[in-house]
Amino acid sequence: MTASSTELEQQAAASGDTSAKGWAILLVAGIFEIGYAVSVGGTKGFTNLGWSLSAVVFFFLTVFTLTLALKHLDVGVGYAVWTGIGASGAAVVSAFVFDQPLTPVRILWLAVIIAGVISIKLFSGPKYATADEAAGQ
Amino acid sequence: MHWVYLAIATVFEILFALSANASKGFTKLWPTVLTLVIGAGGTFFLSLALRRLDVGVGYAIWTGLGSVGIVLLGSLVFKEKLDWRKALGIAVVIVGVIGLELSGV
Repeated sequence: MTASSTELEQQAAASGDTSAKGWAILLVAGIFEIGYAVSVGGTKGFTNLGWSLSAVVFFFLTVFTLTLALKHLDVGVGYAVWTGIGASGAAVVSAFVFDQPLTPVRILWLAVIIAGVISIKLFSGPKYATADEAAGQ
Repeated sequence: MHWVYLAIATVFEILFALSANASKGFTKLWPTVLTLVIGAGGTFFLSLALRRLDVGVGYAIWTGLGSVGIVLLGSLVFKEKLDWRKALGIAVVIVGVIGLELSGV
């Protein structure tokens, strides 16, 4: 009894560590995605060299860190959070960097789109596919 | 014209998801190469769209319609179950895109 509960605690602690690491990496991936979005906006159709290089670097960084984070996290939840950080961050950062307006109306509709994307990603993970199969659907 | 560029970028985004999935976490060489090429194409057309659209707006619509496209493709072509929560998400994204467009972006 004591042995098995200790084992369980160890397992819980281990998976907690893994997922804390996963979340930390995912947060970094989300920040890289903001960098990617803002850089792509700055390239002006890849005519600006500095922004274009920045876009390429952020593209590789975001893909690499997202892939790494999703090894530790539920894929659906991971994608949802990453997209949420990327899309809301892109709007806020580009408002400062490019002086693009962030009006209340615009914030409202952006929030609606982001909420929709988050819910799509949340319920697109493999967990839901397997759950459906298990339920015999 | 920027809407056409955004539509093309969205198609690339959908292909990117399919290809990234086939690369099994970028462990298979050719699907990985294909994914990177598609990623470059999508990024290029997104950058053309963002010459006119503000970054926050263009990026959100691109991601939003990309996610909708991935789910619809999965449902229509790959016969994945379209559960009501995903369907609701699709409706919410479309309402958001239309709202953004009507508010004069």
